[in-house]
Amino acid sequence: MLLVSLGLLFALFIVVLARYQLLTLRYTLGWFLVALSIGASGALGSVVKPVAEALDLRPIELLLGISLAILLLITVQLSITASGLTKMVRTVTEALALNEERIQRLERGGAGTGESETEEPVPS
Amino acid sequence: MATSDVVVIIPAHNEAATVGDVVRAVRAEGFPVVVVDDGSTDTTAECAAEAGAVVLPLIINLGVGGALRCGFRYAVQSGYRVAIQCDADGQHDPKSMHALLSAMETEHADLVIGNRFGAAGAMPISRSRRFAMRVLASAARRAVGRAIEDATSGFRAVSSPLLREFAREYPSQYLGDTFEALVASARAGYRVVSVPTTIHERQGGVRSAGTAASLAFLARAFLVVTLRIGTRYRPAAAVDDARVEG
Repeated sequence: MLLVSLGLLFALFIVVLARYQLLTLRYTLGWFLVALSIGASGALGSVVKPVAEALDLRPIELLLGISLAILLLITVQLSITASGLTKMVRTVTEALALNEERIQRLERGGAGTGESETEEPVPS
Repeated sequence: MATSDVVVIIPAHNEAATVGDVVRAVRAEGFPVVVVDDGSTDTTAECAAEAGAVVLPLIINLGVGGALRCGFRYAVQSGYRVAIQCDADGQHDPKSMHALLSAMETEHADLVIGNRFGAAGAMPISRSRRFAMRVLASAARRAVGRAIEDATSGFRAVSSPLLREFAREYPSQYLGDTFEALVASARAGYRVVSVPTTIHERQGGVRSAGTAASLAFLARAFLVVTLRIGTRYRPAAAVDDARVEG
């Protein structure tokens, strides 16, 4: 009963985050599945118990192990996403700097040759 | 090699005190200069522009590797064949740039590392840092197949097609821009050589990282060498093919 309540509360929390657009749909679905899993594991105690006994574990140990595995997977997935975003930020920032320099050169009238009063000409 | 084929890239983060003099000294040697202002909060960009440099203003701090890749992209887009990277704190002697280019021509090298410990005025360093650099030099020797005494030197020259690879992908983590790029270049079959260069006292600014960052770098360097992870470059032939197709 405790796990079912916990799962429902967590699902509600995810829905609220999504409604305030703090979570994108992609992550909302993932976390919603986690919430459902928590609730289901509580509701399906009769299933968890024999599986845990077959593995020589207590039901709570099995549930904690599964939870830990899911959280580790989510963490790795988030790390992959963060790495990709870091690369994107870097690329966009560089492009912005290159465009800024180009705009300044064009505004100074050095378009085409890259010439200005102080800077060296850019080879074509 | 014509100096018009060469551009000097200077990454700078809050180096207003020194960057102007460095730019003027490099231009006096006949090289155009591009300063990548790495999210500075002082007047680095203005000082560099006043001294005659092209300035690429990064709106956030990307670190040396990020700033350098931006400079390499500028070099490739502008048609330069060779890029020399140089610090903004006045440590690297612009006169030694000719030695880098000379070695590039005579040794047919793709990447020339300026060795800060092999000439008059060699840089004094602590014992712990010397130990770390010996470890890295040993690892670099294994990867490159020849002695690279100063694997973390930020004073180096790179020519196309490796320059185009640097513009495509360049390590951004602390010191990855030196050691990791060197190892990745050698593994892709590019010729890496080292020449002695003159080093001066730092004219301003502070060291870019402390002991913790250095230890993290050593761990990362270990992974790069032993597990072969990190940046990978395409061999020269593949880069040329990509340019023809692209």
